[in-house]
Amino acid sequence: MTPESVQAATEAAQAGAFSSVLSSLGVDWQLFIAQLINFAIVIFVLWKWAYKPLMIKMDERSKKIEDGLQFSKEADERLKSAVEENERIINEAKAQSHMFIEEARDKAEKVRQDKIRLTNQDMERVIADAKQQIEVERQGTFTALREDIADLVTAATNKVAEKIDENTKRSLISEALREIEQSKG
Amino acid sequence: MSAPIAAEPIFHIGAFAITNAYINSTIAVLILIAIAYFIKRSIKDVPGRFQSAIESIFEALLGYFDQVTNDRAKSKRFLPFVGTVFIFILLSNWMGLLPGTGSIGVWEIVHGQRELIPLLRPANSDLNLTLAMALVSVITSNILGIFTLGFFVHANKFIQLGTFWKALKTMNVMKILTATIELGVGVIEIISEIAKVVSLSLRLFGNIFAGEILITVIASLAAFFVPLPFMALELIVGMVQATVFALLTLVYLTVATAAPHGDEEHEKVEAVAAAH
Repeated sequence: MTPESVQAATEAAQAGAFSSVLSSLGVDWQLFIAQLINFAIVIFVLWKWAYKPLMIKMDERSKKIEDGLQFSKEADERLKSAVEENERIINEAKAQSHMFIEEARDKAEKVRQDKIRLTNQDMERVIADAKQQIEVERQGTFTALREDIADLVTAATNKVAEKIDENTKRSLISEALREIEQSKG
Repeated sequence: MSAPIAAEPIFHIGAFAITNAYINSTIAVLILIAIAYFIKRSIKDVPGRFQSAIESIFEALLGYFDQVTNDRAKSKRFLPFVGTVFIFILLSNWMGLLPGTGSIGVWEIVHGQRELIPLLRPANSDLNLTLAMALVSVITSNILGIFTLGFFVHANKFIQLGTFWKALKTMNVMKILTATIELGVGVIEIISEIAKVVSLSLRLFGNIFAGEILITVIASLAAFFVPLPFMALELIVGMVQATVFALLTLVYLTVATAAPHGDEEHEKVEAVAAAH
């Protein structure tokens, strides 16, 4: 204890118990208020300049990050669904094109078969025509040939008959005719 | 050689005596204002190294606060006050350990003796400051209690007339007896509020003042190397005292803004009774 505090204590003992304790410990209302103001300034200034703006910034940032995460999640989902949609469309197009190709192939096959059938019919008809014509010509040739032969035979027989009598002529001709008929038949 | 309990006046402005402890506390205030201004100027959307450091300190403090409050919203609400209390006390305590504090001064004749009056003295070795902070803490806790719970609920913690009236209406002898005891408990609560102020202020003041005297005495015994362990010890004491003051303030704030325990119990009992 310094002499000062001893003196302060003795002074205070006369003033009253409570204030004596306070003043012996150095409490002075002017200084008390001055320190109170100091403390209040610190709290106010730190709150105003440091805590509040920083807190706002930190909250804003965490909200931004949250939003960003949400956004990227949504974008991921959208991308995924777009890819799926693409695949679906491509698959559909593939299936359709397959169908078209099959159809075209079927049609071509059918056309080819038709063509073949028509050609065959044409050919058969042409062949039949040709056969018929050949037959007709052959008949014509045959008739002409027979007439020629008959003429020739008549002429030849006439020449021979001039040299033989009438009866012999007749029997010979009929015999000859019979033989011709026979060989022909 | 040892310093007196009261801070010594260095000069006067009118009738107001500027003491060495007040000079120290004002320097601390100016440093914190400068830091706050720097923070305000440097705040950006994308934090730099400085801002990141400050923010990580905030996050760490909020993490500690959550352990006491169990509620992030409350922690955020209390951070400006409790954080400032902590930083201000810590800065003041550690500033008091800087060389020159307590050793540079003017020789004056005090009560017939030639004494060294130091120009700087640890701010918290002045009871005026610690008392001011303790009073602000306890008063703030009560004001927050009133704002959070409503005036009558908060006042009923101390003057439990509401509880007494409820008990009277039930005409239950046991309940009336309990309420009468709770009236007495309310008086104890009032005393405990005063005790909070006294214990907060005297604990901080005593620790820092004792530390200052300890270092002064040791340094006068041996100037070199010997005081170093004590200085290290005082660094820890400064940190611990700042933490204790801040944490107790946080506890007071949390308790004051929590719904009174008794009320919930009564309501539960009444609800059970009504159900039967």
